Amino acid sequence: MSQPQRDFFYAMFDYAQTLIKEDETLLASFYSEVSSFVRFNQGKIRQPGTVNQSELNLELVQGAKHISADFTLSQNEANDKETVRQTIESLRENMSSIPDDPHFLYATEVNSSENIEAGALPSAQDLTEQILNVGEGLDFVGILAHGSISFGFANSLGQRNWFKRDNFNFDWSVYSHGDKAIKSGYSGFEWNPETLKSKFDHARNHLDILKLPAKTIEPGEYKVFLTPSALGEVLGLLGWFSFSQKAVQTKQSALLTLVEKQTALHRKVDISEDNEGGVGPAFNTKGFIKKPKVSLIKEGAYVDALTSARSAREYDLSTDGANASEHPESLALGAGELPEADVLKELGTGLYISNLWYMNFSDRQSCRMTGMTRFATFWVEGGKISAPVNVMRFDESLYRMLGDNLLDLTQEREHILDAGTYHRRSTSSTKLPGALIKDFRLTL
Amino acid sequence: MNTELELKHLENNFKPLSEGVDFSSLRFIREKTEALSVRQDIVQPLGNTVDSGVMLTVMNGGGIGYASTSDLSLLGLQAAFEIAKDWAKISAGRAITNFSAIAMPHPSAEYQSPVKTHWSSTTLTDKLDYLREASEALGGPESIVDWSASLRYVDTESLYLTSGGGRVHQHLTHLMPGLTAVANRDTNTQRRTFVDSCQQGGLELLDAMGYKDRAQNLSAEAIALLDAPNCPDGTMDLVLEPDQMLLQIHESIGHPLELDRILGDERNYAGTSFVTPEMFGNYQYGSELLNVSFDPTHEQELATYKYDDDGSKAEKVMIIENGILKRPLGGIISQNRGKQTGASSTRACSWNRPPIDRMANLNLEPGKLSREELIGNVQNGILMNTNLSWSIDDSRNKFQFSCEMGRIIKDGELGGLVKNPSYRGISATFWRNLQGVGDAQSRQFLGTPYCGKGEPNQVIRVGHASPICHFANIDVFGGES
Repeated sequence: MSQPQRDFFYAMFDYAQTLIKEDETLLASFYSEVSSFVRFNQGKIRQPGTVNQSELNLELVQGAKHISADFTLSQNEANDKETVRQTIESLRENMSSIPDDPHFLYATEVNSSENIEAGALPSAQDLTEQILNVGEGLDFVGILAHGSISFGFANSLGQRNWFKRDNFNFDWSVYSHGDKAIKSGYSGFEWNPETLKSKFDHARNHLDILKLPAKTIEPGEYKVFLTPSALGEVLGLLGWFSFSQKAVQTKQSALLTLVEKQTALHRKVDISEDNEGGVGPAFNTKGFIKKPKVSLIKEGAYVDALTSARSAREYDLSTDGANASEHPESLALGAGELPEADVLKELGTGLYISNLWYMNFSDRQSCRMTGMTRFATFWVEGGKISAPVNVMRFDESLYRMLGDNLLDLTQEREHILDAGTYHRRSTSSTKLPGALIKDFRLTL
Repeated sequence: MNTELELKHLENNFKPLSEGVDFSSLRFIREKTEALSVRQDIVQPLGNTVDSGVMLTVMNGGGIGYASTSDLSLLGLQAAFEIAKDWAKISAGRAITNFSAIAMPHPSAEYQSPVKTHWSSTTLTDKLDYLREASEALGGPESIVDWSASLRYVDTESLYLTSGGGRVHQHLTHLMPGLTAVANRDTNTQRRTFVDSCQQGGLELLDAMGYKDRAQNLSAEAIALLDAPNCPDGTMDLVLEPDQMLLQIHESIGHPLELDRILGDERNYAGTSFVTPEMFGNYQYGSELLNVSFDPTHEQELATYKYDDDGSKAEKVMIIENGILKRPLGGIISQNRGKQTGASSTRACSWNRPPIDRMANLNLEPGKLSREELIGNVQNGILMNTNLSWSIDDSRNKFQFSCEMGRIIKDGELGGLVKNPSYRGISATFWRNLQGVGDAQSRQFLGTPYCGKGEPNQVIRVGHASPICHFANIDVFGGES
């Protein structure tokens, strides 16, 4: 299969290899995306455009010394070869200024791979037309991201890895009035116009409920149901330096009391980094292959942390292929026994929380989190949705919400592809059930 | 190709392209970043990045489109221009506004950050030695379980060209130092950081901000917090040091006043605002002591520039005066859409993201009280330093913030340390409780490189200067353990 970007990356690497000396090793990581981003507001186009970006990282190794540089590729072979030559010269020059790195580790066993799924997606322009047509008459706001993402790795030991995906992620919300909205998402590798229509229909059908007089509730403890999206915010916060080996070893993980076995989560809580079920590349920038599945919490007890190559060397452990930041990319929470169809009945009276927002730790060492409800949060009475609820702040410990106060998790799980686009389009995802929780603390 | 030639080449190639549409622009960015860090006295992998490319924007027939590319050749620019033009065609008639009706400026200017001691004036070895010394000052005691010292230097060169002959060349240099000390005993972990003294300029900033001095005492503060009681719960007075005021201004004044949020652009991601257009000119945002300026002209502040990314001239304007809300933070496009006066606040984080409304430098103007007088006015309260945690609703109203360190204030005197200090409030009423504003002596010029917003997402540098401030009747609380 013709793969111009892969061939370009390998050609650059082959050239770079000719520039290194006998006592040097070279590692290279490549990233490229050709993405269209169409931003909508009030059912109209706000900012449409296309971004074509390619980056190369070269890391030169001499014994226990190493130094690297990232630069943008122009994708003009002659220009980029010159940049590669200058970069390697500069790296070599600076190498003499840095000491040995006792924590440096890179893969020396060769594990090559190629994983290409080039979809037959309609163009971003076609999708934009469809979205405008299907959403006509609605106040919808959000973004369509569409295009191809490629990752590559190569080293002078002979390893070559390539990953490419064509995909889309349409992340939007349909507003009723004020801050009352239904949040939706449609992402994947194959586009189906009927799925888009059904998602807009779902939002249209719920707008009438949002138009009911909103209920303002008092701070206190409530029975709540967190949808997979809402629960994703909770696990997303934990992903921020809590499942990290470095955080565990330096006592900075918010799960410290769980690690020290002073606390436990509910026995139904199984959390893993499910690389096999993820949507990103299976290799990292040091050439290590990610372990298919890393069990982090099993039956409510701490098992392990994500261990990068650097932490593996520093703490004398094995790496599981985690990225340098030890941030999960394919987090999964095991399913429970509650059928999704019974959620409202089992909730009885309480809050159905579709989305949480802006979470942070209010007391990290107690793993106490605060955040807001957002978009569609409903008051449920007698197993039926009775009113939208004005936004509320919660402040609650993970050990309560996924510990003693966890009533059940849903049987069904949702695979949510991250719509994040900081610096580049995300290839992270989560696979999560919903959670029924009692005595959930709302504070403001 | 040297920079001068490269810029000339871009100008020559853009000129013929830019004709035949209502408006077009080219925005070139080359950003070089060097990140040095010493953790636990070990030099960490060096970060060296050169990120460069252009964004071409076309407004035509009422529509708008952009295309970004790192291919700066004539063919690359031509291809990008055609893509931008196609998007403008697709959006014409279906865009949020008639973009062709907006009179985009065509400015001409040169600007360079003032630098006394250039980053390249010392060797890599010298800089690493400097950080090693700072790291050694942080480490040592057994209860310090992690520590690091870092410097990040970012050199940003930009060229903005317009179809009407506009040309703005800016060269900004940013220095972002960091220090972290983490203390632990059993499951009690406390940290102290020094990360907010980010400014434009060169290495001369390090002495001025007292980098080495902070390295000397940061670990002692973290260790002292291990023995401190939790912050008490209750309604009391709150005194915020400038390194927490930074966050307070940012989250509950800056974001709610962004005009694109008020116009709804951010409702799917960063959120909306409790502020509505009719509030400008009359709304009592805070007490009469509250004076807030938007000032992208302060030479050293982190988000200073001569012209914004839509070509509007940077000017200092008052956003809140004597507590009254005056104007939003919105650039030329939002001003036209919202029929509001605004500020020169349109910025993009790089060449591959389109400009949106941003804060730049948003500063709380100093008052008249010395630090001692301000604290002396507090009968029962807590002084809080350095943001640790932040959370606010999507309308930027209900917030809850935590700090790294607190100190009891009793009868106008500073007392003992408290750990895990937090407070919560509502933006719409919080600022009306502003009881005292420190003088210029207590003001610090701070900044952060991590303001996230926009779809596609953008993280950008912002500056905030503030004196120490006193608030009355605030809901304060501590941790559990």
